[in-house]
Amino acid sequence: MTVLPALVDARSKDESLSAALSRMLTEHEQALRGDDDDPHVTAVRRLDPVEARYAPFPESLDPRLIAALKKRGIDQLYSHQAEAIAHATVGRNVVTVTPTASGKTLCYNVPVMDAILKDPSTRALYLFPTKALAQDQLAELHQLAELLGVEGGGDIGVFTYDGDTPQDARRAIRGRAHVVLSNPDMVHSGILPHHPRWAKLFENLQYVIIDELHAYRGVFGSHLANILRRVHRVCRHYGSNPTFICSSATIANPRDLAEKLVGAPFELVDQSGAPRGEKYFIFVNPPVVNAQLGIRRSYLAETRRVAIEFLKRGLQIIVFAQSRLSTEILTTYLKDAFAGPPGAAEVIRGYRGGYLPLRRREIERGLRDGEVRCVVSTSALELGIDIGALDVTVMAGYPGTIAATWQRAGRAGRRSGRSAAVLVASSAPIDQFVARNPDYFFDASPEHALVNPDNLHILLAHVKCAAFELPFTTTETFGTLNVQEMLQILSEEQFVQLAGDQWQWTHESYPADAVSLRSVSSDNFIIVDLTNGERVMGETDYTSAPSVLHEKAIYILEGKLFQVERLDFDNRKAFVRSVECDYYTDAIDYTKVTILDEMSSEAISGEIASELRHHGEVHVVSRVVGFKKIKFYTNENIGSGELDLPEQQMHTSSYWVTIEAAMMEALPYGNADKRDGVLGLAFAMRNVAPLLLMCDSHDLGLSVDGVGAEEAKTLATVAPTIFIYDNYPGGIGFSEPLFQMHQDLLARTQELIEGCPCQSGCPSCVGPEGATGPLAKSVATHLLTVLRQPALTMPDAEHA
Amino acid sequence: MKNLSERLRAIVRENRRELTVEPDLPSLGSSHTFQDVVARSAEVLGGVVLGDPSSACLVVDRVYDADRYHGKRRVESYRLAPTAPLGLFEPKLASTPDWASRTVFFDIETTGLSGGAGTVAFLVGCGWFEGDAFRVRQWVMLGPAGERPLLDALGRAMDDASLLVTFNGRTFDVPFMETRWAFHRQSTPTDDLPHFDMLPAARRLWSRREDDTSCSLTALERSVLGFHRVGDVPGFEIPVRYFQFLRTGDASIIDGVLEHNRLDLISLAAVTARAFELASEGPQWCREACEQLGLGHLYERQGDIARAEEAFSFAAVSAEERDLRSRALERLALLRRRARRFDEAATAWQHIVDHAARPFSAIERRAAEALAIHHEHRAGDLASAQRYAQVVRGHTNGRRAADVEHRLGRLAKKLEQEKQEGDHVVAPLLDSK
Repeated sequence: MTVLPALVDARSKDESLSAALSRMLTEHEQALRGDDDDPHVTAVRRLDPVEARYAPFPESLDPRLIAALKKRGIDQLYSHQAEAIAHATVGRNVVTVTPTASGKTLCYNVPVMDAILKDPSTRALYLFPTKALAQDQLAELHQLAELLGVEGGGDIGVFTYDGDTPQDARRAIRGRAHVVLSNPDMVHSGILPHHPRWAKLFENLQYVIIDELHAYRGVFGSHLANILRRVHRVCRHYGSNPTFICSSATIANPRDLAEKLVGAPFELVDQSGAPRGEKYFIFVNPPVVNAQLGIRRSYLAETRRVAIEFLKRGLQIIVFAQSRLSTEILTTYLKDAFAGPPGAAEVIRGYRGGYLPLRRREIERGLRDGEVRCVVSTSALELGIDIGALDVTVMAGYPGTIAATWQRAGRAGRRSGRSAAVLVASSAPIDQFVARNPDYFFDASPEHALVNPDNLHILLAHVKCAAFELPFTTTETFGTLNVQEMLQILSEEQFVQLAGDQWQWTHESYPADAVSLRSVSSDNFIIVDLTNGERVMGETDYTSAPSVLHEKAIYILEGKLFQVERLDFDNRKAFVRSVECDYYTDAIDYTKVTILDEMSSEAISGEIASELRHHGEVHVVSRVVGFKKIKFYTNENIGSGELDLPEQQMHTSSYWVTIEAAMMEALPYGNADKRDGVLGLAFAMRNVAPLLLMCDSHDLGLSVDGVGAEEAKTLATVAPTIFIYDNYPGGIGFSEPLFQMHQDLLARTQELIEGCPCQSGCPSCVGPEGATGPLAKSVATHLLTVLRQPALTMPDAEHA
Repeated sequence: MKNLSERLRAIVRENRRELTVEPDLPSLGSSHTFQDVVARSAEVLGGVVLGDPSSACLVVDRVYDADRYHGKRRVESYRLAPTAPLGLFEPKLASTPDWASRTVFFDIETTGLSGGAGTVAFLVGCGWFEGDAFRVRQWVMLGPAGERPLLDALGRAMDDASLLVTFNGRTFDVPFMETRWAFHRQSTPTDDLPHFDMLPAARRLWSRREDDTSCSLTALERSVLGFHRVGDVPGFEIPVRYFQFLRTGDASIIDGVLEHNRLDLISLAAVTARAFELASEGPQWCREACEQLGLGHLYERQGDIARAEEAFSFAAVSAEERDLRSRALERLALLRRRARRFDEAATAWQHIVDHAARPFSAIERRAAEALAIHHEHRAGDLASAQRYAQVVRGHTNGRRAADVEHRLGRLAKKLEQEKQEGDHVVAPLLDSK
């Protein structure tokens, strides 16, 4: 254990960073010269510093605004800011795509403040994906509003309006706010259903700002699209037609996403004029420690080593982990590594959803003022919460998407001076693929953000809310969608009633309450610590509760271990008690998929005619059936337990591949090996799929049918099916693109498996040998060759 | 594979909440037109169509004759005198000119309590005196198209009113209607209208316990007016009944809702009259100690200390419950102490302590503490002060315990000193040693 040195001052940072990087750079050079087929440092890219490109303030801007900006030291705009402002001020919707810390807030604050100065009745609504981000922006807007007040701009009211706003302040805010900072949840359940109280806002709504647009994909984005359809209806009612200004991190389809969410055409601004300092981007692949089993050194241990390298040179760093669990494990490792003087403020902190807001604010503040030297976070800090510019980002594991990786890397780096981002690959297939093919990361376009606003579950919920807010007419559409059939059914179930040419809401309920935007169910599980009396210490969403809060589970919070004593499923509470132990737990689940309806399929044209790829609707039943106990540091499996938890069911959409019985029969392997091969292939495909879709790994589920013990015994023809389904009721739109990308998915999967240096399967390709059997890798490779060449007769068949 | 409709139906039913009541009701049959419904409803509810025959809003007028009884008294007796002490109950309205010229009692029935844009007030009732008779005018929406004419008519009634009286209208009825006017993008006629919410006043006068906030109008009409409803429609049934009416067109389903609303209005007028009467006549007219206590608070707030003291004295004497009596006595003691009549204040506290419960309530503990202070600082009776302080200690825990110990320590010291001063012959000798 060492003592953490003091933070180096700004001038010496470049030097310290170079010193910390030098070993990795040397290793990389050696690897390039040598012939190492499994280098430790797989890539080093130096991103050149970029000069700023400026543009003058547009002439149309109010002089008071220009004066106020100059007081803040802003004498001119970056080119992208000027461009975005020019679009917005003439009423064209605009989406700006620029890197972290490029001054995106001016792109929307300038048009908004300009409009308020010119007409004080003007109103603007800002949407942030989280409450914390809104709080963050509040301070900045206050400052600007205050300066404008000094310039004679009058009293400009800027308020947040969210679940934390006190009841008695709400009325005043409704009347006085020029700018309302809120989030989709609050607009959904607090503002839209009460729109008459917000008449002043909606009558004068000139701008709607959507920050962090890329956060609205999948379920959350599909909800937002419907909320915005509702906003449009209410605005029409009050006679306004706002302009939308959006900002997004780099994704492949920012304009398309904005247009899908808002339902209107957009201008795109994607050439940043902001300067950037020099940045190193480094990929580290932990060395193989057991070549036969393909076992690498633990990526968490490797991350720890890399992080310590920077910390001991007095640099401030952020470490991103992939899950809540690994966040906690890494926090523990790093806290263990540095002994602080007793009683000193904690300089190494964990950060993730589930921490109470007060604790989070404290950590954010600590990062800004330098008191916190290292934060280990989940994606929670990926979004634009102001934590200042740090020196280094270390990523424990590939964040899953190119876009998220750049976003996280952007957490380190100032406008001048050097910074670094280090990606430590885990043994997950997707990580190994990226680590071994750095060009894929550096050269490919980032992913597409997908939304499916017409998911029936989501759509129906919002049509109910919309009908509550304003009666639908018999000729009205929702967005561009015909919802008359839906209203007819809502009327049968007595939610609405046709009166004249209007569908009147005739139900006692408040429909917005029945919808949660963030997860399947609105009820979170509360975690109660029983160590010293009863104390609520965190929460977990409904879907992940069974796997992290089952009885005997080890729950970790900022490195402290708790054991779940009792899970009260009905009341959504888990009771935990502080424990000392040297292991953590990992849940085991079981899933079964049934096909309900097939949308499209494609058959192999050739001798063996059969349907190969499909997509359609499925029914999924899943259940957490047990757990494993895993020892810290060594990752040994030291025990397990069975669990009896309620099953979760859903109707969703899926992509699937059926391997014809004939094709299976023709494989020159034994039945058990064939089965292993199919499982290995499924494992690899499921890991490559999120790479092609822009989605989190847990947005997808995997299930393989026809490979159970029963089927394996019979020698009868078996046609196994690999399901990769949308992990959300109703589906979120991944299946159809996967169906379209079928060939690409197989090609990438083959690259992954064949490019893997292991001999016979490892966790980085087809799964660990112990779990999949010795021939899994070769069978999977064989299968892929067959599947990828549908028009040819099956190769190798005659050698069988 | 299920078709789209079936899937939609399945999703809708998955989350459907059962209706609270689903009366088995006859339907007018599917052949009826909306015109038929309007005509039949006017007949069933005893009203007329507002404006032209295509309007979907009915006006239903009822007059309660002056000599008709509501509860134990005649309707005419509930008429408010222009001299009634409105400002006593609502200081902000003290200087409202000519408020009694058209006092309008106001109550609405809605399709839900959430108050969002999708809930409407399908029935709005206003009541006022015409001579000595009480007129109730109700507007009923027979369909969504009825809301605009309803709001217009209500707006005119509000324009004519000099004072609005509601029961919980400050939190519910008035903001609710403001929302409806805002929904239709109309100005709000209630904005400048003086508004008296009877609920807080009723709580002052008729709550039996300090923390009692349940003070329903139906409970008051029984206890204060002696009126008992028969076959009343319970509040939770009201929205469902209205939805049923919309579906079936059968107005008899909501007839009871109109009656419920009318009774609410006349009872509100009567309860208000009773409250004003008590306030002008004074505590000797009250039947109950809680009324006297409430009056005392109102007089005290107004600064009429003499009447407040009188009211608290009455309450202290007539109270049967210990808690009520203690509350009256405490107020009395505080008034007297403020007037520097310390001995009389002590008498009131003494009463509280003499009849205290075991363990002491908060008031009783405060009384004992006040007596300890009184005896230590005013009466100079250290022994008594010590005795009361010890009583306080017996009923104190938590943070206050330290204060009590401090007081007891100081008293012990003072007593010791007093004793030494008493032994003044010995003391100098000891000192010289």
